[in-house]
Amino acid sequence: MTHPQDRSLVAQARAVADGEISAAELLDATLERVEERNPRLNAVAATFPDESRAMAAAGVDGPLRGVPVTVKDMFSLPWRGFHNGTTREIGPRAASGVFRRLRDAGAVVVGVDNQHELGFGTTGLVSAYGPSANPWNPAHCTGGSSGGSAAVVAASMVAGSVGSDSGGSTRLPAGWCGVVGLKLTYGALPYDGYPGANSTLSAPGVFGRDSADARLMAEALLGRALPRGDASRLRVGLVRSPFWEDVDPEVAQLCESALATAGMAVRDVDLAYAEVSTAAGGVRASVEMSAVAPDSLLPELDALTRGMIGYARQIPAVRLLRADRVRARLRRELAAAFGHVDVVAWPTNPATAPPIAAPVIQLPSGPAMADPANLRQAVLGNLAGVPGISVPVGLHSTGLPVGLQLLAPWCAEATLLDAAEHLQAAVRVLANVKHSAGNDD
Amino acid sequence: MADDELVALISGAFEPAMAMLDALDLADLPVEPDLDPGRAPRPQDGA
Repeated sequence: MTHPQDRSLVAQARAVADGEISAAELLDATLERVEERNPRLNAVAATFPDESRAMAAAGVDGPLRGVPVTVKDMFSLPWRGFHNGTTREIGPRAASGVFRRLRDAGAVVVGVDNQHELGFGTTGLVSAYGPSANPWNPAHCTGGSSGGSAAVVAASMVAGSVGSDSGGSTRLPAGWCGVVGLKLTYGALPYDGYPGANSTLSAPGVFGRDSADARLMAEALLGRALPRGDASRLRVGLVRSPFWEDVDPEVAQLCESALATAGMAVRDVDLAYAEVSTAAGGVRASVEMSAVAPDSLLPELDALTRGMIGYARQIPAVRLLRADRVRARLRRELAAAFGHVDVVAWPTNPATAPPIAAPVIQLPSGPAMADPANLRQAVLGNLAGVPGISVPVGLHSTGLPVGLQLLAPWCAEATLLDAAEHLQAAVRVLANVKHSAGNDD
Repeated sequence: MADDELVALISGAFEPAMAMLDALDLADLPVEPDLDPGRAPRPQDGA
């Protein structure tokens, strides 16, 4: 008999609505699945069965009625303030905007996901809960900062989760864990009870094993329908420089061949100042994150996080000025590009997930720290505030997943989901993801 | 590793990117008041 968590989010919602399974039964099966699989992956930081059972019993009628989901440790719940990957309960115990949208959709919050400490990294290694492990190979990183939220879906502990994205933190772990990760448009839903409220870059994001599940999660969070459209005629712009440069050749090849297999119309697009987006985004993200870290918390943080904060606090003001002027130019460049193409595309991550024991990625230019290289691929979406998605497009010869990233105009989440659905139907790699991840013991 | 050594390590990793930013002439980057990241820039934002 199929375990309920081996079914899609859409199928789970339908099963509850049809009375095939009760919300309580689905919750119990999910808690058992988490108990079985999480010790190996450390993707879930906390569960709270009593509160989850109360949500299931409430039976709120909505598109996710009775369906278990998890949220990143950046979203406050009425019974647990966000810890943001630290030892301390930083946020107030309250119904955050994300919690309210999930509750009103009928979802059952079954756990809080592990994450990179303060969201200040892209590997998922640094956390008060310890590193999270990649379901495809637990010796490798999940990515981050929403690493637990990506892994929990890849390992079929739940079929939908909520993360956040200040510099790629939804798209990057989605790429490394082989799931769909959709960063929403900046400011598209209430930010209270979420540290992103202090950021001009951060937006919640959703995870699913396929685009249909990601669409259902996004509709719940946005509180509006995202109708399906025909993606076969979408025009795709490839920003070759810098985003296809110094990328693992096999990663680039899988991304290009997915677009070709899907028969999507592709053309090259130039974006002036794109080569300085890493610096502009790095400056903004570092300064914003370090500004909200209370000094009293510093001694409790991992030394690497303290180092990131120390670095951010040394950034000269004139560099921030340059970063913001570049940001304005990049937004205009992107808006102009969207006059000619519907989405822009490049590899989500420049290389596959590195080992936890040696978190260095291998690029054509040589070995590199993951954070700057990942940030380069992702932060333009945060600077511009546009939605972005990572879609699994194949497996690298190492056996680890590869993701293709697409960005669309402001509020065009539906376009990204259409493109993801079209790509996944063409490439058909997701079935492998579903049945391998976290399921080999 | 000491905190100041970590700061130096991180600074070194980001330095190639930051050098490109520092090399830009601010005169080539006029102020544009369209920094609401939740919406597309519009002509009346003051190009």
